[in-house]
Amino acid sequence: MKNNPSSHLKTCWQVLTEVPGWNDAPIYARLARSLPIVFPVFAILALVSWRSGYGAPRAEAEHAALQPLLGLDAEISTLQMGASQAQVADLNQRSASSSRLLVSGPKELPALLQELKTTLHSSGWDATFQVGEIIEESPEASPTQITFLPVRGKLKAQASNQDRFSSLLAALDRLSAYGKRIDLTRVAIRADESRWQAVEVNLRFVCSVLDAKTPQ
Amino acid sequence: MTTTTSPVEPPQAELTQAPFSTATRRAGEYSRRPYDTLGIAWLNGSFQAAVFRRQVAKWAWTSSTPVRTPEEFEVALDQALVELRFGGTEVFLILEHDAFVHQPEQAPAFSEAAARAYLRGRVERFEKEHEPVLWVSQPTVSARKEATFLLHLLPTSFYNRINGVLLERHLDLARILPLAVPLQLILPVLTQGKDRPVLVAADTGEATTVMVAQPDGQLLFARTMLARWEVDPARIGVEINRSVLYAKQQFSAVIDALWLLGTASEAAQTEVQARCGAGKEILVRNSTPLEWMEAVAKLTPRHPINLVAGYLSRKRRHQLIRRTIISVCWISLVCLGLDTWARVQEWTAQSQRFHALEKNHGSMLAERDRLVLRNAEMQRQRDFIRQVSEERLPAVPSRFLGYVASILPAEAHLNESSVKWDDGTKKWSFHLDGQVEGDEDTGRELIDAFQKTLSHSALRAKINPGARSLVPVTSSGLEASAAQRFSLEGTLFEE
Repeated sequence: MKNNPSSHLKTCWQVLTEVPGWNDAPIYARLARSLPIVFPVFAILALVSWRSGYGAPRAEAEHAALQPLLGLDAEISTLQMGASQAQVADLNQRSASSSRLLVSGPKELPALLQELKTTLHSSGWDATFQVGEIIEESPEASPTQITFLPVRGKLKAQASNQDRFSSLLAALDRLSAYGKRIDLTRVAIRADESRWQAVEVNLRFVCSVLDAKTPQ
Repeated sequence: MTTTTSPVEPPQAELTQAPFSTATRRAGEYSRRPYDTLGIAWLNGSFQAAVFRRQVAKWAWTSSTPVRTPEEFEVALDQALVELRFGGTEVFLILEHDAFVHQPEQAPAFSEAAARAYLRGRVERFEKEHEPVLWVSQPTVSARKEATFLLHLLPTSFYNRINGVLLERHLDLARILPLAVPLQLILPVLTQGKDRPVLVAADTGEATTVMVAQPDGQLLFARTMLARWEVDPARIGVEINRSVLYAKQQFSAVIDALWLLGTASEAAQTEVQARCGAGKEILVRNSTPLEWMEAVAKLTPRHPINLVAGYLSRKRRHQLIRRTIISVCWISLVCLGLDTWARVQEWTAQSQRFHALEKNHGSMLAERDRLVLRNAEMQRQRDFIRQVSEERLPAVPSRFLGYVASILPAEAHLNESSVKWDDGTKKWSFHLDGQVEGDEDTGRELIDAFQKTLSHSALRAKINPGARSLVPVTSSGLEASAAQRFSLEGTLFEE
């Protein structure tokens, strides 16, 4: 009998609705006594029911209905977090600096090569240049925005140039440090027992793809 | 049944000094209090009730007619409640009744557990022979090696009947105590300065209760005689003398002081003096049930001799459970309410945000497109910067030529030197062709050393073994030349 559920329920009922000094209190007195328990329990049930039956489903439905809008908002946030205004300004500045390293196209080359000749002449070398065909950059992961303008050149030491090797190295360095990007892709020197036969250099200038395709 | 009551008038004196047979009240203090306690002394047909406020007796009432049965108890109780206008719920009862049995027992003394088990067995046997009882054991002084107890046995049916009467009137019976308890409590007051056991004979309604105890209250034995000293003092004297002899015989206790308690105790003093012999100190005290109730009112409900202590303990536990459940329920409700309120606030804010988003849908799309274009342009700029600035070829040819010239042995010179960037392999390659003075071994050693230096330099040159050659320079004659031609090819910046 101790494990009888109804007995347990009866004991619980008597404990929870006990009226002090009135162990056999009638049902109305016990019900009144149970109010401090019944009221919060019903209030809890009501709140839970309202939340699970109305509040939460309504919020979830609203959330689901506006999911595309929320996705758009999240996408905007992600895009905004991609870069700050300071980063944008810095990137513009660096991009402008890089642009200044480019030549505007094949039409600018003769003037540049003439400048190089003058520069090399002052270093003790006479130069002749020949412009080659435009090199198409091999496509990589990102689409290429630049192309190369190859130039072949021959350098001949002036008769007055006594220290040819050192002056050649200095001349090559001046080429690399020129205001435009000049890649020195090849240097070949031939000499016999006593004198230099020839110095050949291959250079390439860089211009934007759009400039290279512009009709000359 | 007729009762003796006093008119509702202001008391003439302090309550403890007022006649016990009247309901006595203090002027201006008569008001119901829910925490008052009702004390009842139902002693062998006599019935007295008193209201206690903070353990002090305030009003008392006594029934002038005998109260022997539960039915008479019910009537007397109603009368007392009317007269005392009792407003509380808690009741204690000092009980001496034919149904309330006090049974001396001797139990094994080697352990308390064994003694308890023995007593439980005795009670079970009693219940089997009679009926279920509420019981409690009271240790007494033992003259032997055994543990002795006085078992107080109250039939459950009797208790249920009395308790039912009280419950019907919303009264909660908190304590049921035998008369021995209050007598023990007042004993130290009676026996001040004494060190030998004393005998107390108390007038309890239609009977006389005799108790022998140490001055500190330790009980030797107690017995009840159905005789009153007003009616049959000679018999009382004989029984008291028998009790004195019994104490001497069983406990080797010499009793030289006898207390006679009760309103008519003086009448028995001479008789007791005559029966018990000379040398005994016979003392008389007009002790009333009210005094005993006052002693009991000061006891905690957990007193070990309380027959309903277990019931009270259970009731207290139930109250604790109930209060805990109530607290948990209300705390849960408050927490859930706060959480729900927070959720509602959250949902409201979310709803407002949703509406704002709906309203700005067009501008959001435009903003998204603008940001997509901006980020694409930034990525294009990054690629552009990387391609223009970061992928710029370093000035390797001039560095290579300068370094080769610096490490070339003095015995050697170059006829041809070239450095070339290969766009296909993204590598620098070089070719050196020259001549070294000396025989073949010398030339090989010099070229080996030159090659090793070149390999371990910052240029990290890697010589192509198949392209390396070292051959003597042939002249027009047949004699061997003292110079060697060498040729080296390789790549730079190899791991």
